[in-house]
Amino acid sequence: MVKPILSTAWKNIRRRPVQNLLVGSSLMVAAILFSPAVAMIAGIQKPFDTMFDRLNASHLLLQFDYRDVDSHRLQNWLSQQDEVVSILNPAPTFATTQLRFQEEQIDKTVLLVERQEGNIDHDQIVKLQGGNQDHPAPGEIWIPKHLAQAYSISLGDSLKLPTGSVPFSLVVEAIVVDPHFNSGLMNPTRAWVSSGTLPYFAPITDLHQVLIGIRLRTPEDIDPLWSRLHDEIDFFGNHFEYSLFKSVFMSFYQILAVIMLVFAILSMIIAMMVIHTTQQNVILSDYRNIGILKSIGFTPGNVVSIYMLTTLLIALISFSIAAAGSYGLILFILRSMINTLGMANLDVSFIQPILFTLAGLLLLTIAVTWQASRKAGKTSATEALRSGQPRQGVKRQIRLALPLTSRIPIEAFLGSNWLVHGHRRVLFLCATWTAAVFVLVFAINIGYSFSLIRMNPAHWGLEKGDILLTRNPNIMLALDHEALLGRLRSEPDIQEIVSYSYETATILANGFPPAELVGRVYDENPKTAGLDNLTGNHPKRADEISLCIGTSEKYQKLVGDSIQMLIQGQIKHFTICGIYQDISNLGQGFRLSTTALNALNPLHAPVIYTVQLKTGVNTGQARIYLQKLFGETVVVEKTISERENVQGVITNMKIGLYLLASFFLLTLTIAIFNDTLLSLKELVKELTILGAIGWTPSQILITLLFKNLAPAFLGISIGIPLALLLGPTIMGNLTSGVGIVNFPQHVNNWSTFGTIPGLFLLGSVITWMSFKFFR
Amino acid sequence: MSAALAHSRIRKISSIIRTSHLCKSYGSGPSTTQVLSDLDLEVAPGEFLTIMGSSGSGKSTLLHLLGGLDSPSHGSIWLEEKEITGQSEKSLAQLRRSKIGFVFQESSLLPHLTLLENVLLAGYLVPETSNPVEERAIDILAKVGIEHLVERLPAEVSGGERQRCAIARALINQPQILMADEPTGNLNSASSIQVLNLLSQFHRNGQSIIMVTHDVPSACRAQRIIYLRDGRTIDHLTFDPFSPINYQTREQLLINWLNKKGW
Repeated sequence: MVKPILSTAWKNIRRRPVQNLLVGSSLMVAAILFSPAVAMIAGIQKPFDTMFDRLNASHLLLQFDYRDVDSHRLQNWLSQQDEVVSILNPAPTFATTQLRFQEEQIDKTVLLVERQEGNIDHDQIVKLQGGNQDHPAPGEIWIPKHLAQAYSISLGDSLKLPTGSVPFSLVVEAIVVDPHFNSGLMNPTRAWVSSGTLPYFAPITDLHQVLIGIRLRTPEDIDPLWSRLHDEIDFFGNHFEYSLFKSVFMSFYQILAVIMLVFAILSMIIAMMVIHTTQQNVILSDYRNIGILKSIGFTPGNVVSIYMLTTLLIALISFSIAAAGSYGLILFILRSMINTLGMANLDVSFIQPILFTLAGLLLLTIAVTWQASRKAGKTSATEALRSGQPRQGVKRQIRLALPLTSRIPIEAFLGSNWLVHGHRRVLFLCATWTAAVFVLVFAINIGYSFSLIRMNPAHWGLEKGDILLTRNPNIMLALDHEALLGRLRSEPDIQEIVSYSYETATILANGFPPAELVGRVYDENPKTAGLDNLTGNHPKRADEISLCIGTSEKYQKLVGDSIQMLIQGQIKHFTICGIYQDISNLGQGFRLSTTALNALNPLHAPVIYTVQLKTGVNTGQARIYLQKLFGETVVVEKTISERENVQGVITNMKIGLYLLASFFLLTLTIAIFNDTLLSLKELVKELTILGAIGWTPSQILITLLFKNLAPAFLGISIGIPLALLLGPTIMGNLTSGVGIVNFPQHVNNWSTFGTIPGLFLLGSVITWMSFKFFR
Repeated sequence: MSAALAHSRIRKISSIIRTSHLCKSYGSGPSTTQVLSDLDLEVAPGEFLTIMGSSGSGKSTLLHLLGGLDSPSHGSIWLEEKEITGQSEKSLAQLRRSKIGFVFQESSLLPHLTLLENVLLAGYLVPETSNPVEERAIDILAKVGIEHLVERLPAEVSGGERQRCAIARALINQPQILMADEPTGNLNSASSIQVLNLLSQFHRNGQSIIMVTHDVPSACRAQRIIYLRDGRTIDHLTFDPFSPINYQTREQLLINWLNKKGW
């Protein structure tokens, strides 16, 4: 019996090439979206881990002042711990924000680190471009790839560092991948110089910072080690750990993967609905054939098998193509990671998750096909042979269709009748329209919101401003805070100034190992810079603090709770007065008022000034003017939101979102084409009648357009408000990991509502194409 | 009356529809199927013509060509002395709206519309005359005897009532010619008689009718019968219009005539 079933199924496939193509393409699009999303979620972290292990990278980087911490004691203590595999010798470090390439200031804090000779296995660096030396020679610098890309720096270019009257030149000898600072999103970043050369260009008084790298057996060893370190050694300084490096690198890919998965599920639902409706229609049009098959001895099971096999063969072909497509898409994403990580032969295989996903999808397809094919088995042979169609009178339904009067075009009347009587398929088409419109509007407005970070930085936790000024207190004849602020306030082009400084504190919370946290200390009310809180208020008093959402969640602290911190060498209790969101530090951090810090250190003064210019003032010219005015006493920079790395991530995010929207529009196109073609096939007798009584093809097309555009109207009416309503919630969940809980959605009215005529045009063109194809 | 005599009599009056060297074939090359070959036909105004022939002889194809539903491979068709071959699909559709009415074998009503809506759907295609469309629809439905069923769906009435509604729809725009393709093919004998009586009644009122049928009693309602074989008219039979109508006699005459054709 297998051979007749197989041959009938195969003939069915050949008999309906268009329908099969449509079913196959719906499945293929869904699978191409689905399996990379699953594969990415399952294994996207592998390239980073592989790179980290291959380079024997330090899980923990400790940066400290050698005058505060006994580095020999620290090294000895670390070497005795079971978790520690190896420790690097302390490398002298100099943090600068004044590195320049050509005339442009590099808008990052660059940690210039002396590349130590000796243990070259630990913390290896991949050289993407440059010579074969293991270390930079004096006067040379190795820079990370993202820095080279952001500023178009090539090998042999010179970076300049101001040292008194003549700037010091560092020649770029290599462009490297640094296992810790491989993401442009991370500030600071690291560049390598020759051992012993820092004193050539850095003030001796500033050369007291060192960096130690510690490689552990596993990343999980960090917390217990860090906890013991605080108990047994007096450590004051900064630390960077594995989870930070990884989360900074992975955040973009993780958000993309989750968005892809959400929309892949939607796309799969649509594909399953396409299979179901198509299968039912095929059975309906094969009704007499089913009667013939039963009359010659096919059992109900045999008949069901034929229809299941038909769809399954199409599914197998589609999934085979989708496997290749998914693999290609993953390779594309992987290549962008590999480019960033600088690793070839990462030995990361996504074949397994792809195969598992496709197998899952195949099972789902089998279930849906079986459900839709059961009707074929239940067909009565007598009825099928006698009438060629199921015995069913047209049920008198509630008259939802338009009334037939001379005032209403007959095309609208008949179109509304087709709508009412094909309500199942219409509902499916409505759902598809809604999903596609939802994704499109979601992509438009989320992409737009990302691009507005420059205009509304405060919504992202960044100070509103046009220029960032950093006071340099370490030079001779430095300007003090009051003098600089007074001078800035006298400038007629300046609207508002908010001054702050970064401060490092160690959180001492019960049940948690002590952890360092970087926060901001504001001289003015942060509200002046447009900053707001999710709950509570900004800190004003000496005992008030506000926490970033990630920190508040990590330590389970709410407004009104208290928190203990080691800050400015003193243990201090603060009352939490507010919780805020901030993208700049992955949701971690705190805000204090200068009053609080002055209580601990009366000499404290802000060093960073966010300057907001008056409307109409040219930012570029103002930047040049301020730099000339203050000379070396300040560094004039771009604001965080304007920086290339932030803009690069936004561009990538927008591309990802628009790619997703394109996938959905493709699915919608297939669904409309499929539905119109199936409707025409069902209505073939009706169309003959209409032709006989004098309906022109144009009238039939108009009727079809009415039928197809009504679901479009409904889909648009539901999809747009739904996207505007749910967009911030979805994004809030996705970006909570990077510190944004309340996603600041801005609606691009022109693009959002401009899509409406575009979508109607798309629906009309596809309807016209399928009608033409049918004829 | 001999076929030749009847033929010459019809030639003297102007035709409502006329064909010349009409050919229709499907496919190409060696697999070409010639359905109609070099067929000449004239139908006079007010004439009731039946087309008979065995299965595959080209009866329905000829009716579809005459009604502009299909286009010939060669030859010409004139409707009221105006050539319709080569006209655009839109022009042909407009011709069908006002000048041609169609009735098919199977119920050709739209299943989800009421009987009245089915009729109105054709009525609204023609710009309003002195009588509003709704009035004309009710009137024609009354003429076919189903005015009490106007709000019913096709599935809620009998086959004969459906076919009467189809006739009403075909006639709502007062076409010059009514074309019926096996109008009683799916009906029981009582319903068939009702439908045939209706057609005869409209014919008596001056309606030109071309009907394709296998059914001898149906064919007897016509004035003239042509017989097709392999796409050609091989003979025709005309009933004497001046003798009183006796369907039993006509049936016998027709059966004898058909037997000679190898029916």
